[in-house]
Amino acid sequence: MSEQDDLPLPPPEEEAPRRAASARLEVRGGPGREAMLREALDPANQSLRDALRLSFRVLQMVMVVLVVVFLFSGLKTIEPGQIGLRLQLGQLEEAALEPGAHLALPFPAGDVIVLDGRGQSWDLEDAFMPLAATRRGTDSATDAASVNDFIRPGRDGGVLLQGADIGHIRLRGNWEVIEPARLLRSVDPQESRGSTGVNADRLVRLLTERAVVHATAGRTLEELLAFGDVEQQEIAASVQKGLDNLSSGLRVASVEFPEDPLPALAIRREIQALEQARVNAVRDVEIAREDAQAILIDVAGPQWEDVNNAISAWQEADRVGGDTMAMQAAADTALEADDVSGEVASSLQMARAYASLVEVTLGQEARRHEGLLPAWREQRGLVASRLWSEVFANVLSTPDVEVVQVPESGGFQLRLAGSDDVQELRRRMRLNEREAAQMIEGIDLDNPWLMGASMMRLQGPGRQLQRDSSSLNNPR
Amino acid sequence: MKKQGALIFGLALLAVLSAYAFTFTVKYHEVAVRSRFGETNAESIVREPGLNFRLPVFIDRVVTLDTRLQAVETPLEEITTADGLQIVVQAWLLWKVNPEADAPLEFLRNYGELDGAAQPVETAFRTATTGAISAFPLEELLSSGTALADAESDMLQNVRSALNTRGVQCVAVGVKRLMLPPRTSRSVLERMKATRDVLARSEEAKGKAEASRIRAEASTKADRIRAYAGRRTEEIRAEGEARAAKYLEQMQEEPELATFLVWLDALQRSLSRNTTLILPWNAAPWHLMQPGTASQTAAGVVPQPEAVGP
Repeated sequence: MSEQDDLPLPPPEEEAPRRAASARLEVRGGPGREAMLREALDPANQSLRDALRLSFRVLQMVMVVLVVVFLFSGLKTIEPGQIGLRLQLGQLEEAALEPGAHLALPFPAGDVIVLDGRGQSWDLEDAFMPLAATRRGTDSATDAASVNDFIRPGRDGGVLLQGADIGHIRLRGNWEVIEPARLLRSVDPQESRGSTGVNADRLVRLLTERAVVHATAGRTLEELLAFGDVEQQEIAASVQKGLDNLSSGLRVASVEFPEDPLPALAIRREIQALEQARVNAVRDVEIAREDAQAILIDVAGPQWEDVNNAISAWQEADRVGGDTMAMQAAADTALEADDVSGEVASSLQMARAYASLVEVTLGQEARRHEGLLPAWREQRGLVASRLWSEVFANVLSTPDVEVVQVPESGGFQLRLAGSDDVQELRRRMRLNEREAAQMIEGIDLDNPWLMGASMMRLQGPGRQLQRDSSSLNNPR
Repeated sequence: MKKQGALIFGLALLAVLSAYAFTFTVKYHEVAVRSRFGETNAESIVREPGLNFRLPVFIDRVVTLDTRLQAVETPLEEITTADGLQIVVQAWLLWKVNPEADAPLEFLRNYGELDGAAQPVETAFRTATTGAISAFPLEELLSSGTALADAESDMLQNVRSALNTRGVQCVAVGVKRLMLPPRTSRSVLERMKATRDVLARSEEAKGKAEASRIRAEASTKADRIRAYAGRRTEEIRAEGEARAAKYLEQMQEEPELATFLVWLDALQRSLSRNTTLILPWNAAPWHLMQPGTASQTAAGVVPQPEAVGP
């Protein structure tokens, strides 16, 4: 007996109460007891064997399934809008795969790399914008902004401009993959792995931020505020150049400013005031130009510039000793052109009217005098009598003239009552004159813009005198 | 039959396991360094993508390095420019493992793996950035011909000098932020405000001055045109006067006739309207209506008026 047998046994643990047995296997002693026991155990062994065989079958099937799954692990489907490239034993096949199912070697010997072939967008929303504008909106942030506020790098974005002015700008854009094999060789197409990996999106953002800093550092605040299509293209070209230098296989599809670039919010009101001042200045100048135009049009009509240029040329010729006569003739031609109106045209018309009047009155008298002179010298009395008679006849033939004949001797009282017909005729003529005057009442006949208005005047120079200088030679 | 199947399966499994144990794959964007018992030489570098042989893991050790672009960014750092002004700069560096020559071995010796290089590369880049930016005055960095590109070129040069021998290939650098320190930004805002106030007043004054100049110029032009037109008007009038003088001289041959004609003309015009003539009944030509006129005319006598006539 060993020492262990002498050791006191630990007190048996109290067993939990069991339910009563439903059957009892009893092997009684005696010859054949072993055989009987084996015979009694055969059904159990058989069951165990069956179970093991079944498990093995299941295991075999699982392994076959795993082998099949492994063999087809290189199968991938390329959806429309995706780009697929096959990787075989580490080598990248250049040709992109069409949409559909494609098989590569099982992992890790092969793979089908799938890229998104659609345009990707990016938005540098807060990179160059103040935090307040990003959170609350530009207008609200402007209202609350003050020059006493700090612009904190890291919290607020911004750009430095010429003269160390501060501005803000927001950009967004799109890029797309044009050479997938190049892209895969340049950058990790997936999300950046590790601490230094860079994917396509981050690459585009980095290059865009650099392009913005370069584009703004050389510009004034006013130039920044006027950023438009040209600057968008400039930034896009800069980013594209960077992508090309890196053989990235990417293309910048677009760059745009979703909102107008801003000055530092605290001086936005001053910038607006400055812009208003500029607008006012431009308006003042525009009004002055209109006034100047009106002054000059009043003087010489819409073609005043031709007249002015011709006069300037004449003065210049006079100053430098050029062909003064020719220049003066040209200036006279310009001044007396048909399309010249205004004050100078009126003055010239009056002068021509005067000359024409001389022609009409004195000229006619002189010609009449010249025509009558031979007869006058020979038959003075007869000529005088004929002339007088003509005038007398003309006077008497006037429709509203009435003649009252009275005896030559005196001694009677004359009470005149004109003819009713003559009175009626005179009244009608007065009415006609009044109607004609009313027709042109309110019309500024001296206004050079109302072409030919002065010709409506019933008295004064006639139409031809105003419009046609040839009237000097052929008065009507 | 069962045994043959098991044998084939076992052989296949053995082949697969052997393939894993005796080969390694270098991908298109990797360079591999295969060391044997820790020893490496120029032939240890595998640059070509594909399947390569190796002895089992306890003999050959294979390390692959990604040769695609990596990026590090400096934090926002205050840098003093050459003219003593403070600016805040943040820059990025794109770099990759240099696959050429012994560079991969150098990289492994210095950094072990890709992640191990991140911090040393960033530190070197920060030093390079500070050195390059501080060599330029702010005025040159912020001007129409900005020197930013030159500064970036210097940054790249500096960082290449520091990392070139360590298997790192520096590809590109860029400045992603250029700002002012907070305390400076406040004074800049005050200056910007004051400048814009002055500019606004100046713009309005310039506008008014320009408007005055335009009006004055127009007045001058108008006066010049008027003056020239006045001269021309006088010329035309003078031509009329000259013609009048000629006509008067012509009528001077018989002044009595000329005067008579003028009188007649005046008479006709003055009696052309609203005229009532009171004449003696025997004034010419009404005297021809007198009795006896017919007998006188029949006798060849022209009847003469008794009255003087109108």
